[in-house]
Amino acid sequence: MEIGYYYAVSALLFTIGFVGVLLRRNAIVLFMCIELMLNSVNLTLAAAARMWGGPDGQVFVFFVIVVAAAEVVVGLALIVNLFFRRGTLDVDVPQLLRY
Amino acid sequence: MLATFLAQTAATTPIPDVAWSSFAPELPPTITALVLLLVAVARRRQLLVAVPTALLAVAAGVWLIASGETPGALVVPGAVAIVLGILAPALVVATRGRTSLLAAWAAAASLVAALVLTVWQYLTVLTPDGPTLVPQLAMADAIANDGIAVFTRLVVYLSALLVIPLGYGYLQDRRINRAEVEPLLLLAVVGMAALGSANDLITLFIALELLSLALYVLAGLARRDRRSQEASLKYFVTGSVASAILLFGMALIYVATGTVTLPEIGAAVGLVTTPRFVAAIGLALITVGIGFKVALAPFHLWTPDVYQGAPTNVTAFMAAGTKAAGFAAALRLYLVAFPDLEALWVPVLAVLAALTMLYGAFLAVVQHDVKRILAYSAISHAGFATIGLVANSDAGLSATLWYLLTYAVSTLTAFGCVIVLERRRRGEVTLADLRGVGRSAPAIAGILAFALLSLAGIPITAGYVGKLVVFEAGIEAGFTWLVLVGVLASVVAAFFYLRIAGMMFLEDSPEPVEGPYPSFGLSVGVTVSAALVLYLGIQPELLLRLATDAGVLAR
Repeated sequence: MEIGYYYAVSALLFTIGFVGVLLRRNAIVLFMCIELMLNSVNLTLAAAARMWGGPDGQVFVFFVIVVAAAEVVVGLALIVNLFFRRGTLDVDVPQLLRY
Repeated sequence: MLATFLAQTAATTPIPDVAWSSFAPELPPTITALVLLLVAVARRRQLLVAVPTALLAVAAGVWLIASGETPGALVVPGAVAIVLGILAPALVVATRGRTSLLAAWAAAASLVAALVLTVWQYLTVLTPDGPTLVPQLAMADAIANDGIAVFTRLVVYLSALLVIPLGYGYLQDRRINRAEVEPLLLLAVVGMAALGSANDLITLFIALELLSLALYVLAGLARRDRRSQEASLKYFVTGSVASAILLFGMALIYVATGTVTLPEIGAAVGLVTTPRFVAAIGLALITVGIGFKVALAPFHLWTPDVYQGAPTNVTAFMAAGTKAAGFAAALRLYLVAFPDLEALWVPVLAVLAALTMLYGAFLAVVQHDVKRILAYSAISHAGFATIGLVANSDAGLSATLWYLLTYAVSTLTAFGCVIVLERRRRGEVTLADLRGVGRSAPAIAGILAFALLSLAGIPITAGYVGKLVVFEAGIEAGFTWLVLVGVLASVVAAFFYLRIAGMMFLEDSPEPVEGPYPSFGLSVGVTVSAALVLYLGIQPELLLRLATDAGVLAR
C-alpha cells in the first residue's frame, strides 16, 4: 500500500489532537488530545521505519511509548490533585495567575 | 589546587575509555536520587539503606582505582565514589533522622562530585594534550562529548548546587520540603546535562522529557497552594504540547532523512534526493518546540504564570538550568543537523530573537509582582542568548554558552534575594512591598540591586560581559540591526530593573518593616552566587576562555 496514506492519517490525527488541545477545556479531554498527538507521531515513525528499513524509527517508537506512560502518571496525578483542590476539571475556571 | 592536581593527573595518565566516561558526571546525581528515594521509603531504618550503598560505592571506587589497562588512570572517579560512599552513612548519623536535611546535604555532595568529574573529564578526556579540545562521540554516536556538553554541565550543576541551600529554608517554611524534592531536582539536572550532550534525536527527546517531567512535579510542589497547582497544570499542558510538536518535527526529519543521528541528518539534508519540503516542515515544528522550552516570544505565554506560581527556588532553577540546557540542545541541533537549511532558520530565529527581547522588556515594565518581573526578564534574556545562535558561527556558539552562564548566576542571585524577602513577608512580594527595604535590610537590598544591575548589563557585573560577547558575535555575523534592537531592549529593561532598586532605596514604607530572616543556607547561597556575579564581571578570563574553547562541535 502507498506509504503516503499512513502519513496522511498521522497528520490528521496530530491535527485533531492539536485542535482539541486548543478548543477543549476539560483537563482529562485535553490530556487525551496530547496522547493522540504523541500516538500520531508513533504512527509516522513506524511507517517511516518500514519505508527506510532500519531499526531507528521502531526504537524511537518504543521510547515515545515509555515517555508517554511516564507523562500519564505525572499528568493524572496533577489532574487528580487539581480536582480535589477545586472540585472541577475545567482548566479555565480559577485563574489566579494573571496581570 | 584541585585543578592543578587534576592537570598533573591528566599529564601522567592516558585517556580512559571514552564510552564510559562520556556520562560519568551524570552518574553520582542519578544514583543519589535513587538512593534518596529509598532512604525516604526506609523511614527510621535509614542506615539499612546507607550502609549497603556505602559498601557498594567503596567497592566500586576501589575497583575503579585498581582496574583499567593502565593502573591509576581512573584515580579521580574512584576517589569520588569512595568519598561519596563514606559520606552516605556519615550523613545519616550526623543528621539524626531529619530526612530533608540529609537529602539536601547528600544532593549537594553528589552535585559537587558531578562538578569534579566534569572537570576531570575535561582535563583528561577532552584535552588530553594541551589546551585544544578534542570532541568525541560515544555510545554509538548517541552522546557527543564536546565543549557544549562540558559547559552545559558546569552551568546546570552549579545552578543546582546553588539552588539547594537557597531552597532549603524556604521549603521548610512553607512545609513543602518533602522527600521527593531533592531526587526530582537531581533527575532534572541529569536531564539537563544529558540534553547538552545528546547527539541523536532519541537521546535529545528522552533528556528533554526527563527534565520536563521532573519540573512539572516540582512546580506543583505546594499541593495546598492553588497558585502552585495552577502553575504546574499550565506548565504541564503547554510543555507536553510543545514536546508533542517537537516530536512530530523529529518524526518528519526521520521521514525525510532516514536517520536519527544529528551529524548524519546534517549530511542527508544537503543531498538532492532528500525532500527539502518535508525537512523544512520538520525544522519549523522543531523550532516551535524548542521555542516553547526556552520561552521565545510567540511561544512564551506560559512563562510568567509558571514562574510566578511555582515555589521560588524551583523558579530560580527553571530560569537558570532549563534555559542553559535548552539552548545547548538548540545550538547542537541547528549547527550540526541543519547547516544546509540556514537560509530558512537564521532569519526566522533573528526575528524571534528581536521580538522576544522587546516583548520581555516592554511587558516587564507594567508588572507589579517581583517574580513576574523576573519572569519577563527571563523571556527578554532568552532573546539575547538567541543572538549568539543566529550568528551561526563558533564565536556565536561560545557567546551563547557564556551568556547563559552569566544569566544563570545573575538570576539565581536575584531569586535568592526574593526568597529572603518572601520569607519575611510570608507571601508574594510586590513592588510596593519593597519600599524601605534598603533601610531595614541594606545587605539584602544591596545584593538584589547588584543582581538587577547584572541582569541589566551594567559594567563590573557578569551580565555586562555576557551582553558584550553576544553583541560582538552578532555584529561579526552581520546582524547589526539585531544588536541595535538588543541595545534598545536593554535600555527599556534597565528602566524597570532600576525602578526596583529605586523602590528599595529611595521610598519609605508606610508601616514599619521588620528585618528579613535569612537562614544559614540562604546566606551562603546568596553570597556565593553574588560573589560569582562579581567574579565573572571583573575576572571573566578563565571561564570565558573555557567558553571560547567550547566553540568546537563534535560533528
